[in-house]
Amino acid sequence: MTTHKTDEEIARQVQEGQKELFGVLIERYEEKLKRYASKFLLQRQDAQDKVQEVFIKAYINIQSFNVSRKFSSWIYRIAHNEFINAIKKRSGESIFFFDPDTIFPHPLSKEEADGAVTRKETKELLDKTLEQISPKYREPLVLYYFEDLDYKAISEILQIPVSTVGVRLKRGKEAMRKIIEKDEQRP
Amino acid sequence: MIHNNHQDCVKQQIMNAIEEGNVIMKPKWHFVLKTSLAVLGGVLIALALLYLVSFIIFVMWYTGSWFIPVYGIKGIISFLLAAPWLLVAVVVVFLWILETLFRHYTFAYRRPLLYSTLGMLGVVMIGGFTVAQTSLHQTLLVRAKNNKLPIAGPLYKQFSLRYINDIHRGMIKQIIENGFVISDKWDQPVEVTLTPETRFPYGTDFETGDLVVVFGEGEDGQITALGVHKVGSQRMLVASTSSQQMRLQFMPKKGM
Repeated sequence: MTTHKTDEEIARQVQEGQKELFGVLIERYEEKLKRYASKFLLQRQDAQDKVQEVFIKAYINIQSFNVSRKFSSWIYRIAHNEFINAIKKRSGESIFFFDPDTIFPHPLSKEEADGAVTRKETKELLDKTLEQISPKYREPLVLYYFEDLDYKAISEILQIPVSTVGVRLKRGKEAMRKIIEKDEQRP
Repeated sequence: MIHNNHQDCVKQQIMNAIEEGNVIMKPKWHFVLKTSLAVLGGVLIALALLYLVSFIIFVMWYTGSWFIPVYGIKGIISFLLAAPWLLVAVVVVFLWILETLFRHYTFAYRRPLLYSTLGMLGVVMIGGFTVAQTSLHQTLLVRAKNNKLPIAGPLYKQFSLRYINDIHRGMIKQIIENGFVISDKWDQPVEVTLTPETRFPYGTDFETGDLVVVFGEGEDGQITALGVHKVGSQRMLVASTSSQQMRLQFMPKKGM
């Protein structure tokens, strides 16, 4: 019965008291969030704990979810906050509190249409270099290339302008290329 | 957090915790209350901003510093020195708080910070100018002067009646040979001496009862004016007594 229902419909039913349906939402998002966490946090064990925390927070706060909006953006936003806090707690990795990219308008607001081959290649290269890319650029790259989210959805999750998503993706890919070039130059 | 074997199914662990009541959903009213408080806070901060911006404009108008930049570099320096920077800093902090509150809403974060900040600043400035045009601050200042304004009274006295070295605002009481006598903010007579260097950006058509701003250093009730201009109506001060016109013919400025 619930398999044909949208996430938003299920979330509304959970809000109305059908707690057991929350399990359907977990089923739908567990793998996605685990992938997001492992790629962004770069620690699989940590990722599992964090995803559990995300679902618990989502359940506790589900009454704040507006069913006219997308559930995926809402739960990814919770995940983003949880993962950012995890990175902040972890020593050695710098995190962005203030981003000048969000202040000024950028002309790069159009979504780049990667070809299927280019996208696959980029994903493979990212897999090798992600851990060397700063969290600021790593996160949009993970959301775009591994979670297949569009600029608008990423903008909602990170709560930044759509044009800034484009800027971060561009800079993230530039960082990736530099890392690859450096690796190639090594004897 | 639920501490169990990581190999266990995440779904099962969470559903068990929900079933056993270890994880409890927050009620709808909790979020409605939270949002209402945020909206109320936003509205109060916006109102405080309108009040502060209009008060800054009023203070600068009342002290005369608002009009001084027309006198060139010296005027701009005096304007900057006379600006109530403490109040400006409070406005900046309030704007930052408001921006932080708005930043979680789609209409704000979808656009660059510059746009939302400029938008807010624009609204606050227009609102501030509008409020400054009303008699609100003048009425409150009169009450403060009469010690009938308990909380905001010191604020009005401190900012509106403060002495600014080279900016003097007052009403022309008497025209004299080399200038005129004005009554200042404390109703004290101040003799203004005009020289060939004195600038009149808006003309020399003065009469008793006019409100003027005099730019120039003053000492012992005497000012040598570097610039003088009429600021128009008598809205901000007590009504004039005499309207006897005494046109002044000043020597033209050097080099003009």
